Amino acid sequence: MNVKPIERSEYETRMRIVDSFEELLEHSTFGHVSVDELCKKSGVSKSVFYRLFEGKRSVATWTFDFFAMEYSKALGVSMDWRDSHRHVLQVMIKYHALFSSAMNEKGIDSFYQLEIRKLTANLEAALFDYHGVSRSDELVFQISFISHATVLMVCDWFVAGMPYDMETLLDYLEAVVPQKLYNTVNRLMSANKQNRSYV
Amino acid sequence: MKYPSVVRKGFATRRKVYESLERLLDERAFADIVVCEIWQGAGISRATFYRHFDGKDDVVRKLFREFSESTLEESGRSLTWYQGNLQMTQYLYEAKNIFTRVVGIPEEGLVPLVGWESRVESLVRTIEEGCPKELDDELRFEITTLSRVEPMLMTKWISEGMVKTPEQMAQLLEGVCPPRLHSIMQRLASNGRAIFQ
Repeated sequence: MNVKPIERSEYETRMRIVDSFEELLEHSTFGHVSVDELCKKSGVSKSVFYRLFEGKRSVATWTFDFFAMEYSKALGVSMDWRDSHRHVLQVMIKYHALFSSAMNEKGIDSFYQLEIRKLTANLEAALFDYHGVSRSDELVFQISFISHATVLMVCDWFVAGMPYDMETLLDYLEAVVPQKLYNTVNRLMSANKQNRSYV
Repeated sequence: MKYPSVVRKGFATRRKVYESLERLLDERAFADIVVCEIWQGAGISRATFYRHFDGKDDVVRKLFREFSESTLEESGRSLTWYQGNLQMTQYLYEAKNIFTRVVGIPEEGLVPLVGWESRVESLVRTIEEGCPKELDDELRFEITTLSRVEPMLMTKWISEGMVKTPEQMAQLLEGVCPPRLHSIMQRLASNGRAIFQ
């Protein structure tokens, strides 16, 4: 996994910066927001900022890496496919200005490639390493498929200005999760529920 | 190389170019091949070459498109979904010598250019003819998803050296087709066969 676990206080400081960034972007553009401004708005010193982030670009990247990884880990424990997709979409909608800037900064194609690679790595790590599902060519291929599908279709929806509501998109996304992968996550979910009822 | 039975206009000329490129790749790396060697080797003029291709990279892109889209029209008509995918992967595998030796085009460079709109159109056409009532927004979403992702998975297969056999790939592709779309295509294919017999 590409995001290290962090302390609660550090998480809160990071989120304060992220929230301030989003607020600033409502009235400005990515290029025009300076680190000074960002520090002032979020009430952190520059040295703290640079301890947490390499620069303003990494604020956007970190936000999505962090949440995407959290939801991948929760997949099959407290979340099914639909929940995990919903949470990612909610983060995207909440930080839409930050997200759009990150997308445009990198150029859309390399942004896709990068996000697909990250999602694939997260899902593989969650299922195979974290939940101990045995690795097969079939599951690896299906993870690759759904990572491509999610990134491309969600970004299309987002770039098109969210032409239909989120729940409809969630219906659609649920319909394209490959069967075997879908069932594997459902099995994990019910196994987890059983374990919990014994406690 | 074995060539697809269903081809687009001008294929005879492009075929000469593909064969010329394959011969050149036997001798040296893609990066060391100059465009003029390709058209000279194909026995065609520079003008003819540029009527078909934008340049050296485009030869590989067109080959990919031509081979991966050759069975599109047949899926859901005379071929089942699996048979269509198997034919597609087999044709691509025929060009293995070219694809896997072209190190000059990384996966990222090929992907944005492999076009998916024609896949969407072709699948939509098949369903419009066979069972237009099924064609709602959700099915369109399934078609678009599959059409966008499939070429990327094929490119990934190529960039990994085509280690998996066409049969394995077709089997894996079978597993990622959304269930509803899959059952519609199966139904259409069995209707299609009935007509052909």
